[in-house]
Amino acid sequence: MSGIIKLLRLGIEKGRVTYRYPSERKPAPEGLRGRPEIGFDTCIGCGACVRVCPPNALTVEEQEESWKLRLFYGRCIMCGLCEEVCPVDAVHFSEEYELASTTKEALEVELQLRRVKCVSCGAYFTTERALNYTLSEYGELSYDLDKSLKETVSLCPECKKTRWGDASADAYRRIKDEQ
Amino acid sequence: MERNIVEEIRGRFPKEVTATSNLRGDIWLVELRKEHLPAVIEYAHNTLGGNLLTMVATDRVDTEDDYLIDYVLGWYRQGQIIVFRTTARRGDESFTSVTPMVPCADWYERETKEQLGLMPVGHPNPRKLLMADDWPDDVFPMRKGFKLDTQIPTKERSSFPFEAPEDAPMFNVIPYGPYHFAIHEPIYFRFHADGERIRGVDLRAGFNYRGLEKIAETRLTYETIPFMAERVCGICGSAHAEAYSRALEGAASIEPPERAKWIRVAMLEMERIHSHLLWLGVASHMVGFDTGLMQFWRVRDKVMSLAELLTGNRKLYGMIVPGGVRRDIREDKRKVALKVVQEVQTEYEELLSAVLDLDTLKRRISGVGHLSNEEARRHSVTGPMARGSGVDMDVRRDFPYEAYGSLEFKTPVEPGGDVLARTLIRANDTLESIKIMRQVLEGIPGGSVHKPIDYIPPDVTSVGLVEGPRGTDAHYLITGRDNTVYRWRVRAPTYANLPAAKLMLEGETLADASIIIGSIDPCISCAERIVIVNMKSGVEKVVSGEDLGRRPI
Repeated sequence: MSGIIKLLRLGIEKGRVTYRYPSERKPAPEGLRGRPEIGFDTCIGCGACVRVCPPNALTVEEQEESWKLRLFYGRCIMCGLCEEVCPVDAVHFSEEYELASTTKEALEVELQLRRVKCVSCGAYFTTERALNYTLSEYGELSYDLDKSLKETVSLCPECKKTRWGDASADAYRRIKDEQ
Repeated sequence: MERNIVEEIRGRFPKEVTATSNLRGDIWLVELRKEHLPAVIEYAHNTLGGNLLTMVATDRVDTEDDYLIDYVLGWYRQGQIIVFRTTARRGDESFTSVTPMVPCADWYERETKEQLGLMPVGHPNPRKLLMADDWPDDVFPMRKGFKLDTQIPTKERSSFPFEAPEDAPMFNVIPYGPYHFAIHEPIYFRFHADGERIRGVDLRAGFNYRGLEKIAETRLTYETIPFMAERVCGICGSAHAEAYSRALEGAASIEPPERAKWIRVAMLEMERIHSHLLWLGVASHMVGFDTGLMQFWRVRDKVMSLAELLTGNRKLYGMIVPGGVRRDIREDKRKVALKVVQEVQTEYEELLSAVLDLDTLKRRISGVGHLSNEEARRHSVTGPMARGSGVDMDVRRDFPYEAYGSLEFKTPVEPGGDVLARTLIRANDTLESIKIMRQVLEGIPGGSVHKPIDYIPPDVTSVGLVEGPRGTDAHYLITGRDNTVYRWRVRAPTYANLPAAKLMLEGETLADASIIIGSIDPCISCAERIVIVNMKSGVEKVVSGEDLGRRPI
């Protein structure tokens, strides 16, 4: 019997603890991993986030001139790995936690970046922003291995391989000749 | 260590055991030939009292031309884990079933049959377990040759062969599930009821099977699996991430930094408090004590806020990763957390003393859903189910991991074996967890919280055990190349506990079915209606949700 009296007392003392959502809202806690947002102006299109995304919420579609990043919130598990790996801090987990939608389209975000051509063969290989990022990050390095760094980073991986292969073959031949 | 189990097994079976070796620390490997498997497992499980932690078969046809069959048994009091390993050659895809002697191997062997095509010869009823009814019988998803994006031609729908008691036509068949309020996960029970008494029970699981292990092997990397592991269970996610991380760290022979270990304990214990409070609420609801539901969940919400404070999210914390944790606990947050834990303790103790004074509640759940000590051992149940039947086992104490070795706590054991005993276990376990939580927050050492893993050697077998809120989470792992796992097998505690529901339900009344199934704390969703088929007349009567609310089921 005493249990019931204790419970009654508890019920009266504690009263109502729920709040009237959605008219009444609690602020999001610090560090909440809510809806991830992509900085359209900062993203360089390196694709690091796509590689780490466990549920494939982030996907890339590469066409001739464009590099398209698609984020589908329906698959996102809010793990935060993309935020961790982004070299330019373009991914940010917002405090927005209400993601429900009646249409699938509302859960999709798309970002399109321009790709650039290889200066040697003319094939599209990376985004303009990624190229500029590489230049700004490594442009100040003192060891400039090739004639100009700009030219080296402006080569597609295939041409880079050929260029370096040729260069080392030349060097090897020179050493041999000297011997 | 009182006895050496490996020596005992080698002494008993000198010819059968071909090799023994130590994998690392407390994990041993015992290799034997296929034909001797049943005798050895029977001796190890039934005579030596080992607990079947998991059973895994691995397709090695691409490299070794055989299949690995591993039975993993654990001896809690001795602190030993033994992996019994045998192989089946390609072309001879079978092994002798141990289920007739060791009934708890039932589910594992059925899973092996449908996922790898290894036939358990002598299995009393090798039905499907996880795969859908229209899944073809000759497609085996866990074989290495099976591509993740394969389009499966479905075979003609066949109904699942349910077991029925001999005199079944005399009884009413009561379908229970796949969606039912007492079981939050889709699972289907079929009761053969004689009036109110349950005379026969059979169950069908696997409605939620998504091939997570296959995805892990083929598409995920070591770093992304913990996030998927966390989603194995919505309530004890951290326990799964921890079990996986422990298995991987064991394979790579690294230890996370000291501070990370303590934060992990905080995560696991917070989860346990949350899970038990959730269960106490749900269980109250199942027996019609809704005040209990509201009050327990009121306290539970404080734990959710604590999780928010420490990790940013209420659930799915994403904290535990191989090598440590992802977020540190800041000093100001630690102080607030300590205050919240204190609040939770006061409120919980107050509430518990009120609830435990309720005679009606106690009488409602005592003597219901009995599982004897012998049956608990025989069926290798785990966690509160085992401890509620007087089996003293706790991974935290017997295989101390992370910081548990330096923390003080008790493992509550109740000999009752009924729903009341399991309720008391969880109620007292919560108090212990709160105690651990306070110790962690007060004594957490400084330092870094993450140590990157440089190298993970391939082909290493590892087992990670974690005491989750529902029992032992056993993750089995074979490391692979190219940053991916070769085999990963998750054994959640409900996998071990659910088959024992049959024993607990038989002879009980339908009105008690909810709380008996609920007392396992199966990770589980709900239903609105049931179909009652009268076997004599064949008349089907559909009971609406509204009507159901007025009925005791």
